[in-house]
Amino acid sequence: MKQIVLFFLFFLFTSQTAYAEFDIQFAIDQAKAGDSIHIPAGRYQGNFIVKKPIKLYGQKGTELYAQNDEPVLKIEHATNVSIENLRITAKNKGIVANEMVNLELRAIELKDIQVGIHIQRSRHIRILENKIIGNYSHFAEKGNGIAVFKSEDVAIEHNTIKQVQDGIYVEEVKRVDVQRNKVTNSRYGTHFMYSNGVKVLFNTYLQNVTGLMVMMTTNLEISSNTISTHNGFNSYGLMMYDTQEAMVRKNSFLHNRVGVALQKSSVIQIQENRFQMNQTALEGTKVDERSTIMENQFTGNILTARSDNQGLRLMHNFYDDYTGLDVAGDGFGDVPYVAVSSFGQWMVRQPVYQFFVASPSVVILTSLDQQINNTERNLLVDSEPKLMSNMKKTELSLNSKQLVIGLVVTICSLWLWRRGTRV
Amino acid sequence: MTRWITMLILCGVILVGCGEKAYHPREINSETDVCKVCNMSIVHNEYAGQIVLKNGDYEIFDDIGCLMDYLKLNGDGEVGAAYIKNKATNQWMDVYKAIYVYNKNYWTPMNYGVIAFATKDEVQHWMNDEGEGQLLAYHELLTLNWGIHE
Amino acid sequence: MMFVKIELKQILRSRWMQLVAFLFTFVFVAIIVIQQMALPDIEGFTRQTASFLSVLLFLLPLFIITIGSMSIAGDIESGWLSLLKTYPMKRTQYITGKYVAIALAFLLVIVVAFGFVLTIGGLLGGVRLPIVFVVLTLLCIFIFVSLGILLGTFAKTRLFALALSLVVWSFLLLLMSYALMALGAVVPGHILQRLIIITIHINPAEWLRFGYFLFSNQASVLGPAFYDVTRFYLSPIGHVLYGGITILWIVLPLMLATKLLKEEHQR
Repeated sequence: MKQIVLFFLFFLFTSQTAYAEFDIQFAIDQAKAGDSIHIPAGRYQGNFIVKKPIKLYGQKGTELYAQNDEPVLKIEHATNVSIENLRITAKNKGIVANEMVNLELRAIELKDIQVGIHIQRSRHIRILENKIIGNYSHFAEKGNGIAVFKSEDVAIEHNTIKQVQDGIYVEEVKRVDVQRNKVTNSRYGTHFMYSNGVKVLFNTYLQNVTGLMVMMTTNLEISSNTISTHNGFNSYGLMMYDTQEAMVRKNSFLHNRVGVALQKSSVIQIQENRFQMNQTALEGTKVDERSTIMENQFTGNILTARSDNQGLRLMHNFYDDYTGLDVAGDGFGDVPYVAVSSFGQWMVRQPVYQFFVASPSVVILTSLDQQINNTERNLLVDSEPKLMSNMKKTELSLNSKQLVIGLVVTICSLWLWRRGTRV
Repeated sequence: MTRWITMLILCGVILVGCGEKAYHPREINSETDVCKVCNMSIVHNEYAGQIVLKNGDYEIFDDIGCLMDYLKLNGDGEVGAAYIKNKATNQWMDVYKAIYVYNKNYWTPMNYGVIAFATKDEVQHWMNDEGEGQLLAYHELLTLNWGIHE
Repeated sequence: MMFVKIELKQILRSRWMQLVAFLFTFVFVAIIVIQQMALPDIEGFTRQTASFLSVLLFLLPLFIITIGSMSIAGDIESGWLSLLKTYPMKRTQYITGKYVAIALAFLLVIVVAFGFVLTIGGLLGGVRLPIVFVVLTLLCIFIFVSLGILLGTFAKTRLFALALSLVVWSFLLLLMSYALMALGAVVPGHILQRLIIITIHINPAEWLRFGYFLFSNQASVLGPAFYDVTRFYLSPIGHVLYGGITILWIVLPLMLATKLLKEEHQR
């Protein structure tokens, strides 16, 4: 038995190193501009450098790794480089690209890395269909999945990223498309700083500290993303700080501590989004007059909105806790919806108040607020709340097991009760 | 019940009393601490700053730029003490006494490009590795044009 | 024990108790039905769990301490206790007997209510009834029955017992929080945070609420200011301490009640 195991181990070992005699760096150095280099399956150790316009592609089982702190693959000062179908593990950085024009990274799997892909001072970059998995340590001790600095025209699409610091970190980049990526269990799903011309479409962000963090960025379109389950101590679904000119449309914010937070931002349009089951759906501080929140759906949030005394402009939204009627028949409620609650406003000023969230005392306070209906301050008031008749079909699916258990428990307890009264 | 209330008040008084004596910087907890100004969590400890208010509350910042932004907005009337990390040693030091170096190409969490040190030697060491920068004292930070690039 | 049986019978027969059972069933079922229809089923702190928690923490203690205290005060007022004293029964036995009987009665109420919730939930395609909720309900009963008995021995007449219970209840559930919130406007955050931590320990309602967030892994709902406390209570020592303090909340009022009864007797 032992011998068989030994033999098997030996076989494994040899099969892994089977093609390792192929010298990648030598092949790169020998290649002419425009050549394609195929790397056969096998594990290759080293730090490889590309400085010319070539295509590098592997196959299933091609793995590059480094045991020092240098990046596994460095691509510098070149145009038209494409890397495809590799697997990379590294102690520090996986791929570093510097001053590139026209670079494509496709179908690369990066595992156990500090930083997956690091790109700086480059133009026309496409990062597609990669898979990046970090380690299990605390987010403060890790690097980013994909980080892009000081670049122009970048497309980051169809990537899957988990367990890193920031899934996609973008700093000082002009024109960047982030589409159909999935980032989970990281610090920030996608983090923009000092960027311009940003599109964030059809991405999925799940269980990060914060889904989308947008800072000092102008001209954004954030549409059709699903941003769900961000419930840490300081979590947000989408946080915008010092941001101008953004359109946030048709996203789903599900089950976050705060769905969308706007801070020091101007000209932000939040339209047709779904806010569902967040602790607080919307938070706004220092948001300018030109920002509007229109035609969104708010369902099952503990608190719909809170703000500082500049408020937020709510228009034509649907609120599931709106109690007014539409006698006029124009599709909008006849009395304004008041989202302001004393508790919510206090929480903005003093975070320690969060302790009382949804406590019985606050529940009573909030319902008093709504009775008083103080619209005179004109904060967080929607004067034309939308009404919807067909919110959700109530399908009567039967859970017979639970039904039976429930019935048995009820009948038994009632019988016990009757017996108890007789004795 | 009255005993509890007196106890509460007593505790409160003691707490207030404690808070007003001396100011000490506190450790950063990367799980819960976020920058008061920009909301980013503190993951680059060696750039962090903090202000201890006169009432004993702590405000944490991820970058000296955010700290200055806070001071600009709120004034320093309530500030008991302010600290910034020494980039070279990762130790807290007084904001007012630190030496600052500015170069727009230095990376900092908010990319303001200002880094703090305690001694001239440390500054020189940094500049040898990362390139020359403009030396600044605290009062020059007040008039620095923050966040301007290119 | 015969005494417990008799007591239990009396409580279960009272119109009060039947009303309470009906009310609880109704409220819980209403929450389940309304929210289940509108919202998808997600684990964690949602409006559904929030309303469940508020109703539980709000109504259950109210009924428990009013009924509990009035039951004891009634015994004293009507002379039933004096009659009982002629039997060979100790004060401790009387108190524990009362405790067990009232606790059992409320358990029955809760079982009826949860049974209904499960039944109706089954009709609507299944509801989640987290185990933490069930445990929280049980602890709520155990702690507040004990408090109710203490209030009853202190009050001695039914009317006073009712008034006292209402005062204590509103103090624990409402006034204390409001006082803290008002205080928060003047004192700095770190002092408010410490006052809240103290409140958690001296207010059984807050203690239970805190326990709910702790054991359902939603400590982050309470906010970053309470990170250290929650982390401590999530450690093994913390768990032990939580259990210890909970037991103290049950045992101490009962012991105090026994003492009060004895002093009464000596006078």
